[in-house]
This record gives sequence, structure tokens and C-alpha cells, in this order.
Amino acid sequence: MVLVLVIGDMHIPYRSAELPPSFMKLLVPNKIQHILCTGNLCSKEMHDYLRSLAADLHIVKGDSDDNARLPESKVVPIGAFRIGVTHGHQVVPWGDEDALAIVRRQMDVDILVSGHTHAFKAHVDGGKLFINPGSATGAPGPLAPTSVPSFVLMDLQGTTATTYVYELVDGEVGVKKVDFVKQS
Amino acid sequence: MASLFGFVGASPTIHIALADADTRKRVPVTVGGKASELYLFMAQDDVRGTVTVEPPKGKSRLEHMGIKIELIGRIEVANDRAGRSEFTSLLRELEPAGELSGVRQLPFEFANVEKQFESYDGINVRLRYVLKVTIARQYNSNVSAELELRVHVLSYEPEINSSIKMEVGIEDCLHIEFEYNRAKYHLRDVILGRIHFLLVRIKIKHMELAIIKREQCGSGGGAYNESETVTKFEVMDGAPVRSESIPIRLFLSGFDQLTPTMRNVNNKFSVKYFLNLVLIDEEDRRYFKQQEITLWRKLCV
Amino acid sequence: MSAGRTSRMAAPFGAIADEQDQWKHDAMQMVKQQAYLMKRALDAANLRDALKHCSTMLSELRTSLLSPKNYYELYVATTDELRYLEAHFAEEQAGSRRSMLELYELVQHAGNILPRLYLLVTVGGVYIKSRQAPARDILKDLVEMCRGVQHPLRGLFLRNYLMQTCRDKLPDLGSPYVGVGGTVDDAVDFVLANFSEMNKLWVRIQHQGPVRERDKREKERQELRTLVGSALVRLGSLEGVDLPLYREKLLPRVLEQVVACKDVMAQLYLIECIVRGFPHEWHRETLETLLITTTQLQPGVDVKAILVQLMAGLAAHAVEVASKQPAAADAAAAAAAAAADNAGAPAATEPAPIRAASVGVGVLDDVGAFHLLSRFCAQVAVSQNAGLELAEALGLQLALLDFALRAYGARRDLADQVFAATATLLSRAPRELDALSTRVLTRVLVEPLGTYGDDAHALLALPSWVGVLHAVDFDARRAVARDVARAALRGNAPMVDGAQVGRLLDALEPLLRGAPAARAPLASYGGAAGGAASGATTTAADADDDDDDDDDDVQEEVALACRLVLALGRGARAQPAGAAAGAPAPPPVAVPPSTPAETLGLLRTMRARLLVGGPHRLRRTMVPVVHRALELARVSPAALEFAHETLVSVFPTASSARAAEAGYGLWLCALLAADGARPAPAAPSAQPAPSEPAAPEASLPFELASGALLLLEEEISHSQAQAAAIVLFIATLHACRNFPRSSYEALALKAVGYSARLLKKTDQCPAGARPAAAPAADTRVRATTAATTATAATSGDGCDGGGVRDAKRVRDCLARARKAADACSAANGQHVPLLLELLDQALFFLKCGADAADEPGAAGERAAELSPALVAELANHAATQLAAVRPTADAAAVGAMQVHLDASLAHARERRAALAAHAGDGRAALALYDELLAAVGMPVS
Repeated sequence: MVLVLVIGDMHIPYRSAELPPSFMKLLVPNKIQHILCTGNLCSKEMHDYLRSLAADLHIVKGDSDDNARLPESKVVPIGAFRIGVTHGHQVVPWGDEDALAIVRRQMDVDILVSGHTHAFKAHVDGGKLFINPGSATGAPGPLAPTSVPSFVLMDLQGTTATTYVYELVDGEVGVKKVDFVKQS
Repeated sequence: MASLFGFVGASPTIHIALADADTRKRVPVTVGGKASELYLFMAQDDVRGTVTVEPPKGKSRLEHMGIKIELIGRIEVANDRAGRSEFTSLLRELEPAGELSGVRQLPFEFANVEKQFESYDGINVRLRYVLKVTIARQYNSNVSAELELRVHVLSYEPEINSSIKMEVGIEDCLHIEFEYNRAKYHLRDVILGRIHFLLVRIKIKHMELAIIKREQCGSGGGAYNESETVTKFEVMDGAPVRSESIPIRLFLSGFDQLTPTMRNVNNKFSVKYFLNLVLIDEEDRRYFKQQEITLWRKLCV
Repeated sequence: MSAGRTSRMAAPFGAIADEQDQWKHDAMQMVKQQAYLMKRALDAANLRDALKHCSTMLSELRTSLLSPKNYYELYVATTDELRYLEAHFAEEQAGSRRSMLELYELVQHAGNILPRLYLLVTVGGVYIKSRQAPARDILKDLVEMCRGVQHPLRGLFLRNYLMQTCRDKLPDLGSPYVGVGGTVDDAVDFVLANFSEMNKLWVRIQHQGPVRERDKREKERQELRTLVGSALVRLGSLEGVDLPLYREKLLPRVLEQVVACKDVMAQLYLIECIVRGFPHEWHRETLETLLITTTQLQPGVDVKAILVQLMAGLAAHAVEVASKQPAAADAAAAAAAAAADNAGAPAATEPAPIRAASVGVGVLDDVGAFHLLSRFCAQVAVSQNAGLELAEALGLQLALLDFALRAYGARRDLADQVFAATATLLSRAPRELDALSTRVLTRVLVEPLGTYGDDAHALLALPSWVGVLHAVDFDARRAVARDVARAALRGNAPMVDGAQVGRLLDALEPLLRGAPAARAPLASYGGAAGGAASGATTTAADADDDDDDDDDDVQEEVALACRLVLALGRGARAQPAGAAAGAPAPPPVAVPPSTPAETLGLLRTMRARLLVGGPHRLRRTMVPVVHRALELARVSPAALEFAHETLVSVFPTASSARAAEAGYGLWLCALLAADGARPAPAAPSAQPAPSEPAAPEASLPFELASGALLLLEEEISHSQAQAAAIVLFIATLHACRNFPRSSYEALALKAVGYSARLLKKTDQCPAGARPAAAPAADTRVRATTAATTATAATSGDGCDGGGVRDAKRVRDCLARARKAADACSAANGQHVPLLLELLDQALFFLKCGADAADEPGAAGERAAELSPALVAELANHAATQLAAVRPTADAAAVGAMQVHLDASLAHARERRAALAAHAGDGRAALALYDELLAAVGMPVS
């Protein structure tokens, strides 16, 4: 079992002060093997924090990141999956399924991870999985002034990717599950 | 105690037995390296007993010119040939001249005899009490036997017995005040004392208390003294500072050599005791102060 | 043997190690041997011989040759053997064949004092246990007889042995030796007497031996001090010692000894022992005695250390008491009252009524202790001024403050008194504080935060605090500001009261502004604290470098400032009563968050403070300011105006590339927010200038978009960044929903225009890699622009019949993009991915068209303008080009391209299938796909 943390759009400290403590409690070192981050962490502190959770950390550049060294997008092969990561502000229209499908084709990946909209979404299109982990801090997004804090844990086993989304609603952390099997 | 006198000449046997031999206390005595036990008498004790006379072996009769017993007190002074003097001598006739047939038991008694001095074994002087039985014979030399007795003279608690207290010192160097609880101690007493240091400018290493016995013999030009350290008792280790006070406790019972103080015994000798407080400094210089104390034998209840 | 030893007694103290080892070894051997003989004699019931061997063994302790450490080892070995003797006596005594008195006398016949006393103590212990004589008498005798050993080291160890032997044989409360054996007083007398003697001996060690070895001796003496301390500790552990006994007898006598010994090391150590060895509660009751004693100590004694320790202890005690006081405040009050009665000292304890209310947080009601300590601290600082450095005096204040906080948490006036006293102290100090003093002061300044539950407002409300703050230099103030800011954030301090927030921001000024000397042309910012736009440009030049590698401190400060911005307007939830023990939390009342208008006011204040921060801070600190304003903009049009104003004043230009990107992003966010906030009907009258509905170009969204473009044009120079920026602009524009058609058109055109101009500029760039990159970017931009226009056109929202023209522009864009892509064909197949991307975009338009195809009206026609044929032609063109580069290009790259092309076409087929499944055959949309698929050679059968 391989656990992949999918997280992003923290906007600390510009739009949000900190990661919700209840998330911090869940996210502990030595549990997670890979981290895919959709960007907009905005602080080195957050970067260090993620690094402390898992050594294999992949971050792409968000529109609010000023770290020029971060790539626009990245393809990360994990197990049987090719996973693409991009922030998503470059995808016009933002969060559009067809537009995302284009990006996925360009990157030729099984799973496309993107963010920017600050709203969790997971859907399957053309036999491929698309995941948007939302904003881990619930920071105000480009399309909505408020958002629900959320992140995603993916459990990869063989050709099966089980996606758990953690959402903080009214102070309680709720978990939802989405199954996906890669088509050969 | 049998005398083997006149062994070859077939002498009669004399045996002196004390009446209370079974109950009378005996004390160990060491004289000239020889240890023995002697019967102990207090000054007022009666001396009584029985003399057993037995004719020489092989004979059933003994002819004699009279049998007598003496209680002799004498002082022996070494290095003085003429030094042997008797200060007391009591005689009892046990049997008038005649003939004894078979073993004969002759009781004797010295009642109410004051034995005024205490027995003493010193360096140069001895004071001894002896019971001496003599069988006078017409043709042969006299036959005699002796039994030495030990005498202790007991005293009552002295009426005046103040403490010894004194300040001594060396100017700007050492200044102490010492105090012994008494001037007179009985032989099983304990010396309690205290040394106050009023000024200490020398580096004292330790301090000890010695008991010194001084035996004095003769008089005038022929007098001589003999001193002996009975014990050295360390009472302090290290250097005290000013105003320090050190306790002293010395049990006399541990020292068998101690005797009562004796003053001019029969004009022959004296035995005196001194406490010597000695301070030794780091260069092994000794500072001391002697104080005479009187020892006495306490009446045991 | 021992005689031979003693003759060497005069050997120098500092013997070399080898000799030490040899001596120790010899002594140990002797001890072992004699102990063996002693045991054998004991087994044979030969007491006299046993004592003789024991004495000989103990004589080894008479040595003066060993160092304290080695002597200690010898002591341990020897006294271990004595335990055997003791056990033997105890056992024999149980059979009671001998009277203990006799034995006690017997062992005193030994001629040498040290063995004699060790024996005496050993037998004395057994004697006490036998209870044949009162413990009191024996203890008294032992402690007295031990006076005979005046040698410091030997005496110290002998008395330690005495203490060890008798520690469990004292007539203490609950022991079998109390009663006939004596009273607690006797036990105390014994321990005190022994302690006094030990102390004297210990102090005397310094005078032993040659002067040149004094340092070494003092070191050794330090090592021996625990022997003395343990005696005091024993006093503290006596069950029977209670406060009255401690106060009336024990303490005065110990203190008398402490003062009398006139030794710096001993005085400091012993007072510390007292402070540590006895309950803090008692210290509170005897505080004055203790404090007065400190004034009688030797000049070299570190009284400050003592006071610090004392106060720390009292404070810990106070906290402990508080934690033990549950809701039963009455009981606590009663107990306190009883204690006061017991003490019988109404003069010391003020007759003020005990306030139950303060129990639980305030802990101590009687402030007498505080005033006493406060007075002494001041006195020590002055009286010992020659010896007491400023830093030390301040350290004392720190301890006092700590005490006041922990013991009297609720009495903030006391904490303030400490600050006032500290300020007084500082007024006498030199202007420039030394580094250490500054460090201490920094701690003093933030010390209350912990106790106040991170309530920064409570700290700043102390009137004398600011006075102390201004005594320290900028760096220190900055450090304090950091701590205060952290606390305010951690403690979730409410941020609603203007005065409070103002005071907070005053204190945080060094943090918000940064070091003053770093950049010269600050005046323009400093003067413009009100938020005016003037002069910002002057600083643009000096920060063109990557200003970002500030040290971590700056990073953190900026982050703190940002978080504070986010916290503005935050209220406070009610604190559950008694939630945090010992830490007086903010009052348990809820503070409602401020209204949007109030929050905006706070934000305005905050911005003013932040504006002095220099460009490299501003570009980050202004981000949350703008975001907060945009958040408020949903309910408050003034906030939008505020955000605009901020952008205009801070980001008309940028000091660096990063600042430009950040500012650009903000402009766009503002644009989105402005689009989202539909102008309130009543608003225009209040805001006369910006929103003039008649002239769309003058509307706020339009201005914001223009501002972004201006910044893009002026400040973003890197081609990749430019491309990304234009894409973002287009995406943002696309996300807007309420734009009037005309404005939208204008802006879309502007975007296309900018992109053409900007990209052309980069074309002229001579760098080798650029010519290839530029068309790629151009292609992407054009494609995206086309997409934007198209989707806007097809989304139907806010458009009014201009569809044809839009479709035409899409075609134009695609055509131009294709041309640009083809222009790259020279560069070994690099144009193929571009063509594929273009194909994807075309497919996207086709889909949009398909979505609209079955809707009635002009929309259908509009979509038809982008014919499947055109898309198919593009696909075929891409396939041809791919085939053309296949022989020469990298195989892997070609593979990837092929996959991409296949995927794109497969996608088209899927769309068609989905459409068919969803809506059934025969629809116009299906026809579009069918035509396309047929044209690319994949007809639907």
C-alpha cells in the first residue's frame, strides 16, 4: 500500500494563518510515502512542514507562489500510475473538465491532480481520474470568498487508486472515499 | 602452698590455709615477670586460718622447739641492701615446744589488725604482707613457710574534691584553659575535662593526655625518683581554632597499673600521679602542663 | 605501619597521582586485612581482639596524605566494614549478654582519638537502638565527643559518619525513640549541632596547607560541600519539624551559623540549601528573616542568585497551591486564615480580608511577600552596586516579575510595579545598554505573556511597560515585537478594539517596519504612513535584485505581519472557566467580531503601519491587506475602493520581478472581486468617482483590469512570465460574469494586443533560445485568447448578438497560432506539440459549438463557423507534420506525440459517444463530430 498525500493552496500567510490543527494531527511523519502538492503554499514554513511528512515531495508553482524554481507542472510515476500535477490557474476555464482533459492528454497521465479552485473535486473522464484536493486551509479562492478546508489521501495498490478526501466542516473532519481502477 | 624446704633432710611439711579461702577474692599480681594470684585483704580484715603441719615423710613424730606464725608487713627497696624494713610484725604462738605425732592442724587468727599500707609493686619499691610459719628445731635449722597476702586500703569519698582549673599559655602563641572535673579520682573513676582554646597561633597537630606515675624513694641525698607513663591518650586530632573547646573523657578502669597515691609511706617512699596535657605542633614540638591528681581506692559497696 | 604513616604526615598536599594511588592502595589493603581479622575475631567471640583489629583498621583514616576524593573512597570502604561490626553488636545485644553501657565504655579505651570516635559512634548507634538509655543523651554525647577531631577533612567525614549512623535513630515524630528517648527538639538540636560543626570544619579547609594551592583546595572544598548540605537536608526531612519550630528555633540558628562562618562559598551554598531544603510555604512565612540575613552576608556572596532562587521557589509554591485549590475556594480561604492565625504575626500578614475571588488565579492574597521582595531587590541593586552589574540587577527584576506573575497572577498592578521599578533602575543606567542587559530586558518585557495566556493586550495594558520597551535598542524591540506578535496570534487575542489594536501595533512597530538603516530612501514611505500613493516609485530601483533571500527573521516577521492582518476584526470566544490552571486567561467573556466597517477601519490602520515597511516587505504584507479588503468587499463597497487604493499606491509599479508578479496577481484578484460585487444600487452616491455606470471604461473593474495590464506591460519582462501573466489575465477575464459586453470586448482586444506587442519584443531578443520559445508562447497565448473569446461567446452570459464576430476571431486566432507554430518547423519537430495543442484547443471549441448547436437561435450558426472541417484539417496537418519529423526526431518524443494525437482523436470519439448516449442520434451536435471523425479517417460506422 502506497499512501500519497495530495494537498495544496494553503496561501499561508497571505490568505490563511495556518493549517487547521485537526489536519496537523492527522498528518504525521512516517505514514505517507509521497506528497503531490498543487502549489500556493506561499511560505517556506509550509514547505518544510510537508518535507517533514515525507521525503518524496513534488510541488508545482501556483499563481501566488513566488518561487521561480518550482515547475509549472510535473509528471510523477508512482507504482502503476503516471500522475500529473499542475496548479490549474493556467487551465482556461478554471476547473473545466474539458480543459483539464486537454492538459491530461498533453501530459499523458493516468491521474491528473490540479488545484486553484479551492473546491474538492474528483471525477473520472475518459477512463482517467481527475483530482482537485481543494485548499488545505480553506483560504478564499478565486471564484469564492470562502472554501471548505480539504486535502486528499490516495492509497495506491496495483492498478487501484482509492481516494480519501478529508474535509473540515463545522470543526469536524469528515472523510469521503472515491474508488478508481486504471484501465489497461 | 607447700614449702619444699629441707627436702633432703626430711623436713616436715607446712601448709597455710586461710579459713575463707573459698570465698576470698584473689587478685593477679605480676612481679618480676611472674604472674600469680594472691588473696586480697582489706585493711581491717581479720586474717585467720589453719596451719597444717605434717611430720617428715617416713616419720610419725616431729620434735620441735615451738611453732609460731607471724604477720609481717615490709618494704623492700631495690639497690639498697639495707632497704628491707618491716613496719609491722605480729606473732602468734601456735604450739609450745614439744612433740607432734601425726598430722596436726593448728588454727590461727589475727583479728582487728590494722594493715595500714596498701600492697605495692613498683619499679624500685615493693610493699608486701606475708604470713610466715616457723617451726623451731633444736638440732636442725628452723623450718618455715610463707604465704603472701595482698592488701588494699580503701578510702571514703574525699570531703573536699574540687576541680582543677587553670589557664596556661605562651604569650601571643598559645593560650588555653583546661579543666578537670576533680583533683582526686578513685581507681575506677573517669576523668572528665575540657580544654578551651583561647588563642591558637601555632599549628597544632594533635593533643594528648598522659597519666604519669612518679615513684619516690629514700630521702635526702639518697633519694631518687622514677617516672613512668601509664598511658598516652589522644584527645584531639588536628588544629583547633580560637574559642574551640575539646572534651576529655578518660576511663581509669582500663589501667591495672594504677595504685592509690601514696605519700611518704613509712618514711620510705611515695607514689604520685600526674595528668600531663601535651600539645604537639606540626614540627613535633611539644607543649605540656602537668597537674598532680590524687588516686584513691574506693570502698566498694 | 600506621606509625610509619604518621611520620610522613608532613608530605605536601598536592602529591602526584601515582603516589596518591599507591597510598590509597596500601590503605585499602590494610583495611581489607584488618577487617578480615576483625570478623574472624568476632566469629570467635573474641571482642578484645576484634576491637583491636577494628582500631587498627580505622587508624588508616588518620592519614593526611590522601586527596579528599581518595579519602572519601577509603572512608566508604572503612565504614562499610563498620556496618558489619554494628550488625554484630546489634545481634549480640538482642541476646543481651552485655550491657550496652559497658560496651560503650569499653570502646573508649582506644588510645587514638579517630578510631575511638568511629567505634564510639558505631556502638552509640546500637546503644540507641537498644533503648537502654535515652537516645537524647547518647546523641548529645556523640556530637560532643566528636569535637575532638579538629582536622577539617577527617572531622568532616567523622561527623558525616555520625549523621549517617544516627539518621534513623533520632527522636523524631513517629520514631520509636521519641518520648522517653527525647523530643523532636532534641533531634533538631543534635542535627543542628552536628551541622554547625561540619560547617565550621568545611569552612576551615581553605586555610589548610600552602597558600599557592588555594585554588585547588577551594575546588576540593566545593566537592565536599554536599556533606554539609546533607546535614541541612536532614533537618528539612524531620517529621516533627513544623513551621513554629522552624521559625522560632531552627532557622535562626542555622542562619546564625551561616552569618558567623563569614565564608562566601559556605554562605551562598547554605542559603541555597535552606531555600531548597525546606517548604516554600515556610519561606513565605519567614521571608523577612531570610532577607535580612542576606544583608549580613559577606560582600562576595551572590545575593542576587539567592533572591532569584527564593523567588522562583515561592512562585513555584504559589502555582502548586493554586493547582491544589479546586473550586473549594472557601476551604482554601479558611486554611489561609488559619495559617495566619497560627503564625500569630498580624503585623506581617496584612489584615486585609481574603478575597475568595482571586483564589485560583491569584494564588497569594497576601501581597506582603511581594512588597518585601520588591524592596529587597531594589535595595540589593543599589547597596551592592559596586558588585552588581546592571544585567544582574535586571536579572533580579526578572525573577521578581516572574514571582509576581506566578504568585499574584491576577494582580497585574504588581507586575506593573516591577516594570516601573525596572524603568527606575534603567533611568540610572548608561544610555547604551550592554548586550547582556539587553538580553535580560528582552526577557523581562515578554515574561508576562506566558502567565497572561498569551494575552498581548493585557501585557500592553501595563502602564509602565512601554517605558521599559523604549529603553532597549531597535533589535531588542524587534525581538520583543516578534514575541508579542506570536503571543497575540497564538493566544487568539481579539482584534476589535481600535485602541487596543493601535497599542499593539505601536509595540510591533519594529517588526512591521524592519531595520531602519538597511535602505536609504525610506523617507518616501515613512512620510506616507497615511496610505498615500506618492513617491513609491523611488524605491523601485534599489530592490531590483532578488530581495527575497532575506534572513529567516525577516521572513518570519513578514509572516507574522500577514497573520496579524488576517486576525483583524477577530473576536474571542468565551473562555471556559478554569480551563487553564495557573494561567490567568483572558476574561471569560466573549468578544464579538467587529463589523465590516470597523474591520475596514482596523485594516486602514494596519495598512498605514505596514506602509513604512520598505518594498521588500510591502510586496508581501500588502497581499493579505488586499485580500482582507476583497473579502470585505462582498458586503462593503468601501472595502473594494480601499483595495483599489492600496493597489494604486503600492503596485502601480514594482520593485522587483516578484513584486510585479505578486502585484499583478492582486490586481486580478481585485478584478474578480469587483466583478463579483455587483454594484449596490445605493452605492454610487456615496462613491462618486469610480463607478459611473454610463461610461464602462471608467468602471472599477475596468480600471482594475487596466491596472493589471499596465503593470504587466511595465514590469514583467521575462517572456515566460509574460506568457503566464497573459494566460492568467485571460483566465481571470473568463471567470468574470458581470462585465458589460463592451468592456469585455475592449479588454479582450487589449489582451491580444499586449500579447502581440510583448511577444514581438521578445522576438527581437538576440538570445539563441528565445526565437524558439517565443512562437511557442505565442501559439499558446493566441490559442488561449481564442478560447476565452469563444467560450465567453458561447456561454451566453452577458452577450448580445456579437457571436459571429467572436467565432471569426476564434478562427483568426487559430490561424495565426498555427502559422506561428509552423514557423518553428525548422527546429526539429518542435512545432508538432504546438500543433497538437492547437488541435486540442480546436477540439475544445468544437465541443463548445456542439454544446450550443442544438440551442435555438443564432448560437447554432455561430458555432458552425468553426467547422469540423477546419478542425479535421488541423488534425491531419498535425499528423502529416508528425510523420515528417518521425525519421529525424527523438524516438521517445515522437512516441509521445503520437500518443497525444491518438488521445486527442480518441477524445473526440468519446465525446461523440457520450453525446449519442446522452441525447440520442440525429442531433446537430452529433453531425459535427461525425463530420470531423470522417475527415480524419475514423468514421463512425
